[in-house]
Amino acid sequence: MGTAEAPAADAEAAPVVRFVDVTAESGIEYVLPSGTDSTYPMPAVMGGGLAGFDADGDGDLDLYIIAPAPGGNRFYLQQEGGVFTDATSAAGLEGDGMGCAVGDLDNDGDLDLYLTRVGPDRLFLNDGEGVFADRSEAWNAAVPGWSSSAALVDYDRDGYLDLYVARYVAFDPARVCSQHGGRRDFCGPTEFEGLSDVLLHNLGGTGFEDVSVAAGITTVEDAGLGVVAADFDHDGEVDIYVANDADPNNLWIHQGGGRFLDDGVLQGSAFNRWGNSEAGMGIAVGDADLDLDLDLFVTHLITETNTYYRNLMLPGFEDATIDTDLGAASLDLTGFGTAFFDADNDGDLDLAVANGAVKRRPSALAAPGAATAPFPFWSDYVEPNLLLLNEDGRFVDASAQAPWTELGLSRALVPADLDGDGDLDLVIADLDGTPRLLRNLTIDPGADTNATTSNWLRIRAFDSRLRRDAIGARITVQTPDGARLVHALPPGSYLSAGAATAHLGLGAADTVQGFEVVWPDGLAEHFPGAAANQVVELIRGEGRIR
Amino acid sequence: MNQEPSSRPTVGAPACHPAFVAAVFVLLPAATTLPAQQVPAPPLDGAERAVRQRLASLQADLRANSRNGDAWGRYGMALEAHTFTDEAIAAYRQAHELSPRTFRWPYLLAALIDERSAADSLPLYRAALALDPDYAPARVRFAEALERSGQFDAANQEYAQAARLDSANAHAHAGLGRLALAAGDADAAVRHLSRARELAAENRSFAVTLAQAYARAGNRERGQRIADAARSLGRINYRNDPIRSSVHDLALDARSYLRRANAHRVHGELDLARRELRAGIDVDASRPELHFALAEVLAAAGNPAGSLAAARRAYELHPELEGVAPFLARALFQTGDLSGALDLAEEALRLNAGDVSMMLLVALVSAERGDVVRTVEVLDHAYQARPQDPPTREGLIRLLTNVGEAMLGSDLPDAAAGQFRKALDLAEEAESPEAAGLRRRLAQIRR
Repeated sequence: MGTAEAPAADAEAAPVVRFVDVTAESGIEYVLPSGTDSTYPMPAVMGGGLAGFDADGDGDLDLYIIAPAPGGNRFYLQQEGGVFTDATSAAGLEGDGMGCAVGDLDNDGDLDLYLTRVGPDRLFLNDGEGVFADRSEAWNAAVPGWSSSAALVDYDRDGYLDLYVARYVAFDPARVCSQHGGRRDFCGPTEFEGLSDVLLHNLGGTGFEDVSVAAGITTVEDAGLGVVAADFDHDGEVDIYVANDADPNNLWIHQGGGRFLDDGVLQGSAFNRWGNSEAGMGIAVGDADLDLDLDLFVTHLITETNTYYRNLMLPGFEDATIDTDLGAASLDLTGFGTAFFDADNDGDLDLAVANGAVKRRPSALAAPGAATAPFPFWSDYVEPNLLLLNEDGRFVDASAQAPWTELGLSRALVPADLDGDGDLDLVIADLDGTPRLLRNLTIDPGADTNATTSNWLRIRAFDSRLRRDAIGARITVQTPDGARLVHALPPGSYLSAGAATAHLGLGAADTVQGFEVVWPDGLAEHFPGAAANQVVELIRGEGRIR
Repeated sequence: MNQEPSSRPTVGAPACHPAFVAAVFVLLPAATTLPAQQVPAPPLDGAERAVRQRLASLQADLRANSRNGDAWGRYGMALEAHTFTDEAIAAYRQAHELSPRTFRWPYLLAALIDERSAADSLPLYRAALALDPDYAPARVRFAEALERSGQFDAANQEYAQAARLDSANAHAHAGLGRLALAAGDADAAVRHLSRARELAAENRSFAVTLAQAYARAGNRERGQRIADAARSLGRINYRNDPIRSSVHDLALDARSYLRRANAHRVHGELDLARRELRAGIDVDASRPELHFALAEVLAAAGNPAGSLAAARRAYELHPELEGVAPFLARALFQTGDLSGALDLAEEALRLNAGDVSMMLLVALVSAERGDVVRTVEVLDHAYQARPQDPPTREGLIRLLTNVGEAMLGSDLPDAAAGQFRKALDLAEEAESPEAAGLRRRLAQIRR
């Protein structure tokens, strides 16, 4: 049995990755309305969704910001120069909601949008130019109850994206909750019954059929918040992992034939090291330990650490939070959105976590009397976000500088190369705050630093028969430093959606030797190598890069 | 693009970070000594009256006895009981300084600091254990803090020491099992965790970790059985730690009474649960959840009249409180008030259209009253819902069969066959031995 003494903090040696908040220059001044009031409505503290996707097909990322308050959603189109303009009404995307999933549901070559809500969900089909039509009823997509996150997954490999919708609790607005000697506060999930999740089977791009019962996923009614779909055990069938709030997480292993079995307990990903179910919120997924399988990271409530589940491919996972130094930084924070992403393009995955309490903190972080702009209601709830850098498998808290020290009530978080410079920026949705656009300065066209040690590739796996990205494709990249695994997956996180494009940091390597792609239907295909610092498109069946 | 000065509030100077504050409390006690008259006062706006009064009384005690460490400690306990953590830490710190020979103050302080930083809590646990090395719950918590800090060998030694001090301490055995599992020794993990589970069968954490250990050891079948059984266990795990429990016993807000009552219910201590709930109702009689919990406790204790009264009160206060309408409907049915039961069951179905147990109740009462149309209608809904839990499914099969027999008696063989067909479907789906009998009966009817 080994001993892992915590390394002494060494501020001098702490790695630095610089981000700068460019929201003010982006043209986005909108404040995401939570809708909170003196009745402490629970959806107001849980919402704050986000999608970063190319809605109008012009090659840059647009933003859809989702608010729990009525009429609070906003859609922004990115224009040249990185400025965003409000196109909510023109796009037909008014309304409210919790989160979303984005993908091409009718295989017509553009990205459609599924909106989760406290109430019937909504489906918007894209006309290809960023104008959306509500097809919720026609597609049988109006899932009732409180839905949270959703994941696109072609579980039956028929070429059409199906939809797994995580649902939260049977919320009762009349329920009154309190703490701190009886002071009123938001209710937690244990006050209500959990809801079973929903699996919608895509009927050839014309509508959905609810196959939840047949799939076996209605056997549990848990408070679902985060969801990712991927083939965790490399058996060729896509699996689904759901982070539940205070309930055990589900690891739905696809048995084939559309039947799923929850094997989370035996595979070690339902509970933490201590055998406790935690307040699962957001999920990050990626090969954090570079052993060519997918690991999981789940964010949690204050007094719980966030939890890192290392994939051991037994099949199964182990809670390796302590071994990777991922516990201490999160113990005093409530985590929501999160993503594995290579912040410094050095070839391994770092972590970002969006935080904000759901009940009054035992110890307020905002200084007494200080302005807690823009909404003083949250002064006992605001928290800073986290940037954790991967240093040889251990994570170092690199959040000591702005913008990470800024307090807010953050929820959804999406990594995306907003400015197309080759490093991953971040967008974070804040309740009753302006969405934060954090620009990564690892690659700064205005400076001549880092250029030789921050190489990168953006990899798109495209299936031309389906006219869309091959969501779920597993891509092994041969680099000078060894094989690296990436997936064509949306980033997971919490109430959020993003492009299913893989980003790979290459450090000093300026080429890769080749790509092995396992397409979602199991076909394996080899592609030749490529030079760094470009977007490569791996086109199915052609064995060549576009 | 230029970096704009942020308008957002920030954590500010490092000294404001909670972990840093905790470290300062631990490492620089003299620097945080409070002036005797400076009593930490939590924000009490919105707090319940009993809480405000209790804290005010303890504050007055402190002002009169500001050098009394135990008075500070008692105040700290009351603050912690009502989740005023910052203020409780300050009070415990003062208590420890003024009464350095008292075990409980560094121990309680360590446990609170531990919630924010396991590493920062270690010196305080050590200080406490130097005063009382034989208090096993503290040694277990110390071991857990070591484990959380990544000091696995030291944690292993402390768990072993705790198990020697108190061989019935399930958490000590669980700690040994957890460390063995993390180290890849699945067989040792099974051994230690099995012992923990024997000592605390109600603890879900031990059960699910044992299930995982069995799977790692290659016995998935055994692991699955344990995992399945663990589904019925509550998510809250209790531990025998009289000193920490004495803190939570001080909470005077209505919600804390409910929490303590639930803990007693888990252990089958119905009388203690009843007392807590009555006390909670005395504090705040407007809380429907307290009345409903009391109704459940009284029913379990064999007091149907008291249970009915408490359930009625809960329903009056919040008719849509989850579970209260079905509970009251069943209670009324058992007392023979069929009209009341039917009304409540229909109301319960309005709130939750998928509640098969309420469908059965409606069917039963409707049948009793000769309302065949409603009986058949609601039984059909129940059949469509395909209840999975065995008692409800068996109840539905029985009702369908009884209604089928009644229809036969009224010379309605086709309608009767329909009821038997549904009963048979459900029985076959459940692979029930009743299926054979139902099949024979259906064949008889068809002949």
